[in-house]
Amino acid sequence: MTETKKKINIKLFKGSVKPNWCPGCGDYGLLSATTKVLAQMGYEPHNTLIISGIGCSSSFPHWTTAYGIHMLHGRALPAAMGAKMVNPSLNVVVVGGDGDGYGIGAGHFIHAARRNLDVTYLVMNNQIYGLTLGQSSPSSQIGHITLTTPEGVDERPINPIALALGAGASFVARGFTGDTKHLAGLVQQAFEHTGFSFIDVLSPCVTFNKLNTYDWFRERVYKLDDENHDSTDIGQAFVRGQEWGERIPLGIYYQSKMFALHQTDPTSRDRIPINEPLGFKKQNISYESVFNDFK
Amino acid sequence: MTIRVIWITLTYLSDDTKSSSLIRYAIRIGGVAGDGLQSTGSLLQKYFNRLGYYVVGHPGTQSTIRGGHVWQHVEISSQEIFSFDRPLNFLIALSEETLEVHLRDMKENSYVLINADKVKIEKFHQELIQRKIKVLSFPLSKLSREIDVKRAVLANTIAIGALITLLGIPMEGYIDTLRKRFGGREKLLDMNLKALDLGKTYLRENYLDAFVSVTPATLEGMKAIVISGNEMIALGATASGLKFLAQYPITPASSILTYLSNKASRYGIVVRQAEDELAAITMCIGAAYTGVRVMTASSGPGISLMSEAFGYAGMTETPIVIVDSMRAGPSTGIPTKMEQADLYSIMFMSHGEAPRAILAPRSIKEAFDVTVKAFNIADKYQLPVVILSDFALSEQTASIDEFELDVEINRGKIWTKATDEHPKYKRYELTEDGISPRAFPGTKDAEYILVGAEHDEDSHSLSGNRAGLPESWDLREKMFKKRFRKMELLRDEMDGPELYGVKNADYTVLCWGSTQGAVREAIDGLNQENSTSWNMLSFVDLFPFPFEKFLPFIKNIKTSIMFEVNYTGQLENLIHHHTDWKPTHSIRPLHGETPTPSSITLEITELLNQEENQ
Ligand SMILES: Cc1ncc(C[n+]2csc(CCOP(=O)(O)OP(=O)(O)O)c2C)c(N)n1
Ligand code: SF4
Repeated sequence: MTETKKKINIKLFKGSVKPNWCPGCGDYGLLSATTKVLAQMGYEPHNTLIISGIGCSSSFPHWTTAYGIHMLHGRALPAAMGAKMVNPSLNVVVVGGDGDGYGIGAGHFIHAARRNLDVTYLVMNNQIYGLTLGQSSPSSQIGHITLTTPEGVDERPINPIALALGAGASFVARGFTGDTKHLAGLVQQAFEHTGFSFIDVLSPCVTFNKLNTYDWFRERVYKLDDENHDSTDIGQAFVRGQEWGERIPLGIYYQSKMFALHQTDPTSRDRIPINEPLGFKKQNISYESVFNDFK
Repeated sequence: MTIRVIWITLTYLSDDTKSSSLIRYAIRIGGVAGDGLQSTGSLLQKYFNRLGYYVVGHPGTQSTIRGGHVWQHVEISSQEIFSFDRPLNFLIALSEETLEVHLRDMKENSYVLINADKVKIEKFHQELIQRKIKVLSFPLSKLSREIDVKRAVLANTIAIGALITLLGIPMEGYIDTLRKRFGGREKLLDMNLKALDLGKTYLRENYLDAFVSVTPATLEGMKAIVISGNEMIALGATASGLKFLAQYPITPASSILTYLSNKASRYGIVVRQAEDELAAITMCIGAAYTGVRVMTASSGPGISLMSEAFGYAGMTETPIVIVDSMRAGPSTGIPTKMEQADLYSIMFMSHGEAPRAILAPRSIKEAFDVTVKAFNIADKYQLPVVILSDFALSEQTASIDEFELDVEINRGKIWTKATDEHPKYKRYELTEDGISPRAFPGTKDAEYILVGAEHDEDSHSLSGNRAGLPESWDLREKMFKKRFRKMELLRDEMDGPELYGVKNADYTVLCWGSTQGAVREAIDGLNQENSTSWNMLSFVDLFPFPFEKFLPFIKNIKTSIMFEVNYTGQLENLIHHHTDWKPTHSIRPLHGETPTPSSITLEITELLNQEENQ
């Protein structure tokens, strides 16, 4: 038997509309890594769904050829849940910013994690509100002077790694758009993971965040893989998750195998709801059984 | 203007006291939360339904789990009934508060069965004698302890045993109902059967001559079901092909979630409890985009939270069905009481202007068909459709004949592959009717991004770099008009009001939604007891308002009374906005209690007497 290997078109997911991001914006790095990995892994645009919230980063789906939902600010994850649960055969990718995911949408983040919803969630964390022109974000560093913090940020920043771990995410990683090769590797592993895979992607905003720049990160990042980190050990993951400042770990903090939501849901675990017939009769549900409950 | 004095009594229904047997019989059990009243009420209704009576049940609840006064109303009749009414024939008082609250609702010659271990009857003596109410004093707590020391709820079954004996109707049906309920749990069943028997014996031994005659049942037993409005909506949704329900618990919408959670796998529906209502509605939007029929349900506070996503569904032309089971607002309001005050807030929900439809079922029976219509409208016109229920309709139960569950499903325009008409897929293709084909992920060559920003035919955003460019001006206008063209088409599909009662009557009462049954019975009473003639116009399809179907009625309306349960007169104003027509009078009760034929009749009488005296 001969099987000719299909030639991979690496640009399959590259959209025709040019991104309107600032030149140098970190988000380009994640976009190119993601579209490349999608093509390499053999996904096709028609069975890939990319869902975002609102923000510079959330324009991401428009720059691809896949199906997409450009949702409301902070609500990408619940939309993804609706989509994935009725059609588990789709590869669902959720993208957005730190304001979108750790601020207004933080409530959904922890619930998607604890449910082990089988989507990949990529947060382009630039520690600032980009689209609204430079206010502080829930991940802005203490002391950072922004439009809304003239004396510097005085609220402790959110720790997305610890938050995801605490919420029970089954894949927790951190990447950096200044190292797209490493980032692409993480994205691929996230896609391969069944369950909620989350990557906090350090993605500098060159226009509004003059503090956490490419250089600032380059001086600090290191790879967990180089330091014998055991990503099956949640204790170690929590310890590494506390590191920020002098040294910032990149890579997979934690990964575990457990059932994803669509594998335990009483309905979608054994069928693809969108392909099912509609109504009682076509589903072969006897009227008698329906009415009997009410007698 | 002058109005003739009219005289109306409250016993507008066939007067029970005159005839020897009762056509309609109202029972109420009152106690504290935790007394298991809901369960007893449900068993009792199923029993009467089994016997072939028409049944209506109404829960009187407070937002408490334990303590606090709750009650369950069960009414039976040998003729079809359309509402529950307050006048009581039989009251079971498990607590003293029950007498304080409900004694006023009791008819002459009615019975009250008290738990003598908990209720001190002395202070009510005078009133009971004056009003000829008979007391059956049962030491229910003591009797239930005789069967099992730990199961105080057996008191309810003892009382039911006495009630059934009093009515002289077959006990077997209740035994069957218990058997079905406790199937497999022999010990529980056995205790309940003992309790039933104890109730019978205690009544016969102590009140030998207590007897009430009710007209025999007219229906064939077991042909009807006893169902709540929420359950009916859930059945309507399942029949329509619902595949995804996301909901966050809230009274009085929760029972849709709980009912369908238990049926999820069997009915092929993904049912998820969301973390909040914003999540619930956005989950629905995600699932609808992916290609299935979706629904969420909530009440005031949750509906308010959904507002932003509601606009998104309108803007992106995503079909979703939302049940708003209205409770008394604003804010937390009175969660366990009904109101019809969300019409405005749904009409104007979310910023900007986006299409939507609003339907308000008028009865439990109608809730099924209205739900089916809601799903078809949602898909056909690609917009959010709100089913306006309320506490009374959602939580009330009624017996209904079994009905056809197979319904017509119209999923609207869907693109699956290139055709001559649609060679290239455009999600928001500018069509004559304003409706463009939808395509679902998985379909090749139709990939597009759903976007809440204004967009072109290909769903490319006009908000970013294209905002303000001349090409966008034109497109913006075209897209707006496209979305609202759908509304005009949809208006044609909206049903106008239904006329009930005497044609060209002296008085017309207008109402909408769940109050229809009570208004209808009030009208019947008024027509029976008076020289004046009455009719009713009731609305179910509210928005887009089918004003052209209302106009022909206007010339025949003489004196009119608009009846709706809100402060500002929401439907009245909507009608006025479209037609310039205004009713002669308005009645807008705000006490929170579900309107009944008696309360409506009283309000009408007072209003007209007031007019006369002026
Ligand atoms: C409900 C709501 N509130 C506020 C906004 C305004 N808004 C748009 S984007 C944004 C913040 C974006 O920051 P982030 O998510 O970090 O994305 P970035 O632009 O930095 O990529 C805000 C506040 C909105 N669109 N919706
Ligand atoms: S403002 Fe910042 S986040 Fe937005 S596109 Fe420019 S660089 Fe990127």
